[in-house]
Amino acid sequence: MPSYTLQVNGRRHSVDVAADTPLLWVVRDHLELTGTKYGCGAGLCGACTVHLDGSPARSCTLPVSAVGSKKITTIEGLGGEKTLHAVQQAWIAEDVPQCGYCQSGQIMAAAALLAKNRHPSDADIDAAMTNICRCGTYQRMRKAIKRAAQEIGT
Amino acid sequence: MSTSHDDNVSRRAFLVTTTVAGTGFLLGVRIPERRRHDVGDHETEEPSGPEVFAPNAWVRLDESGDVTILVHKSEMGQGVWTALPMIVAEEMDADWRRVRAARAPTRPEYDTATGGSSSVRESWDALRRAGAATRAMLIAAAAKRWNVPESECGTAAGEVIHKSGKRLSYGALAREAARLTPPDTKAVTLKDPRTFRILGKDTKRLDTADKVTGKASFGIDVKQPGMLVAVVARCPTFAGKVARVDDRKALGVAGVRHVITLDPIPRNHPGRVAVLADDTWSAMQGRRALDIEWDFGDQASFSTEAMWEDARRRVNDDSAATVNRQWADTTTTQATAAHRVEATYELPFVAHACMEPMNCTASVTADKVELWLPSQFPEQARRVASQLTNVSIDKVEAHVTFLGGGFGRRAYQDFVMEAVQLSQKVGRPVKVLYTREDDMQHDLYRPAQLQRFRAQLDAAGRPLTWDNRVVGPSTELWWNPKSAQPGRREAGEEPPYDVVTTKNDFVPVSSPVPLGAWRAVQNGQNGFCFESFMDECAHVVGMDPVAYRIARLAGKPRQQAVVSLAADKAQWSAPLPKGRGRGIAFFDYDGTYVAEVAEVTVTRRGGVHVDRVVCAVDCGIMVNPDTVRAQVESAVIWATTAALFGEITIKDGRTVQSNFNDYRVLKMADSPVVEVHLVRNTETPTGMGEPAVPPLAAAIGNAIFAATGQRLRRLPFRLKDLDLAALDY
Repeated sequence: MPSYTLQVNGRRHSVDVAADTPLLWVVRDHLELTGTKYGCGAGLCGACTVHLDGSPARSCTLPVSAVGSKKITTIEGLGGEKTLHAVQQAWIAEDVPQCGYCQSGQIMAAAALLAKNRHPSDADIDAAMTNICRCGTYQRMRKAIKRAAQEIGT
Repeated sequence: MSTSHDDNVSRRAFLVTTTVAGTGFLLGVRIPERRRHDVGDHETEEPSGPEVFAPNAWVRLDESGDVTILVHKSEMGQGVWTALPMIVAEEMDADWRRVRAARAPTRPEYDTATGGSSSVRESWDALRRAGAATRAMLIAAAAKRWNVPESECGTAAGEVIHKSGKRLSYGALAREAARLTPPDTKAVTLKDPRTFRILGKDTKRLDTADKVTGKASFGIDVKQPGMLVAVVARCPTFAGKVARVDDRKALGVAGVRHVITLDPIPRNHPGRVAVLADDTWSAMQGRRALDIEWDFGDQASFSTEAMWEDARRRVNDDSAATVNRQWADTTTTQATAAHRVEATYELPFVAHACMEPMNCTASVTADKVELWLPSQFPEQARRVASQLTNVSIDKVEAHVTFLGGGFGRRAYQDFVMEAVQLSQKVGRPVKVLYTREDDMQHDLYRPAQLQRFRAQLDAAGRPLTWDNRVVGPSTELWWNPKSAQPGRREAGEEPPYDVVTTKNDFVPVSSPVPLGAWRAVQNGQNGFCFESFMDECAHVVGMDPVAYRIARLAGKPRQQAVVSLAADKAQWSAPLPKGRGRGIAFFDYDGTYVAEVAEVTVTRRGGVHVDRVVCAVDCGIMVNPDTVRAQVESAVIWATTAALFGEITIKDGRTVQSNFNDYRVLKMADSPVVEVHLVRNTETPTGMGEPAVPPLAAAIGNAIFAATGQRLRRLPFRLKDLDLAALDY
């Protein structure tokens, strides 16, 4: 079993897993960071979204062997020690989550969007936010993204 | 941390089961010294120490003034984690900032079954009385301390206040209140709804913080010491068996510990081969390495295509129909029929596709069973586990986690049974996890259905007769093959209008497809069919669809008001450009009234796009209006998905669709703008999780008709069902 050293949320972890193990299951089962969710296993729903060097990645189809030295951020590492990320705060302000299962992935996707585009248009939001929510919280997410954009911009 | 679990925690809750007649809640719940729920942060540590005041089954108050309110319904997105504590807190006059929620134990006394939009409706009275009884005891404790009559004391946000201005916080009274005898809950005084401070105000959900940080613990997140993860290969046909399995390669996958064959159980449990491993990916890889030969059984040639041919052939076969219900309004003199209207609608099987695939963790020992599960019916899970293991039911605990969606799917026990059977066989805790493909292909689908309507209308458009025949697979026969009432669950609803004579019958169609409850259950099919047909009737008599419905709701002012409100807010009469249209639909869901106006654009290339949905809702007193709004937003997205995309097809006895690539669901870019308008009143509250689902498909279909002049009578609405050559734009 090969060994991999991963940088997750600012900490180094070593794991001994098969090379084809998706990053999702490394994070959930081996590092016990369960905020990142399994939804489809095929990169279709985005519940497993994490950041690799700040860019959104669907971890359910990303073999651990392909991560290399890229820095991984999961929902648990998105905010600071004591403060939440602006997107998390906006999600609370708009009371976005319902069942909540997809929300880690949604928040990671939104945070990645705002990191590279401070003032996304509706079309930018549509293009970046392709994760599935069966509770249908899309309208509140859109509002929350705009709220977070304003917070970050000021 | 949701992954840390304390093995030594006490899981005992000492319930003194003195059920108060008529209210269904318990008195005298004593709390163990230190009790910590062990499914992660979903369930909070309960207040500890001897000075806790636990006046009844719902409330715990500690000396610091912190209030914990137990929630007996499963939180699956619908907001019960916040709404139910709000009801108790209101009557208790608690300081809402000091209130937190914790999961109630799964015991029959709590009625943990969650479904049918019933949580608020059915808990409302008992929770109010529990809160009011608590408040009465705190007042009594303060009056005693001050040596004043109770009648001179009132309460406000966590304090008892004497008319002289003296105040005592609830926390300071906890110790003394705990020594008092709880009052008769039937005799307690409830607040006048006009004086509510908490109910009726937009209130932030108590579960949001944990749901934006990844801390909220779902069933899939459960981890127990020594636990194995099981991924199960199920025969793709619904009643097939395992003929032969070669597990050598699977057992050679690193991390795989066991391969276990499970025999079929009638209904939705075909033959199965489970791979148990140290972690999820190893189990998945082990399953891929299995070499299984299936015996597909005698339904291996079933297809939905053939089923539809059968249904269409039999729709007019009166000899096959069993009459379900008939009503006649005998007070009306029979007028002469001026119009005859007939139409037939079709709805396919649809899947639930909860974001969290089905799962359950079980730990079975000789004398004890523990379950950790995202379930709508955890009490039934206890019963099933007890039956499978012969462990006495009082030794079966069911710890309910947050549910990553429910929608009716989590009312079933298939995933529970597998976890229990496997844990029993290996003597270790086992978490069964469905892959997305398992979840989609071994669902219990909303029944496919054909509905035929025949109506006679008088000159003013009033239906003198309303003959509604439902043709399709029978949920009743699926669960109870010997039932004498095959149409019991599919047929039998009276339209909410001034219909004179209604007849409702059912023609069963043979099908091996597992059937279950899907958000709104039969109301979903009825909403589409009834409201599409009402639109057709309006056009036959030359009336505007809004005016027609208002006329048909004569004498029902609340129902009429939501139709008018939705139409007004949607600017019903304002012209739209070519290719766009508006449609309205109304539904009465057990006393929750919903009207929806859908605005659609139909293009030759893009097909149907739902641009905007305007909803008006009257559900009586709103516990948390923002949650009512959220549930309507949710229902609109849910129902638009079903109307535009939702279809499960069966070929060679098995489900064709397998994941979100071929079972499309709405994403943000496709979503309509949703506007919700709420009616405020002081009527008894009704449900909100489902009621906005049923009318939407009809509103969309009626809007397509308005845009194109073409009536689509089959779901989902597809571009290929439109006659593009006939469009005048």
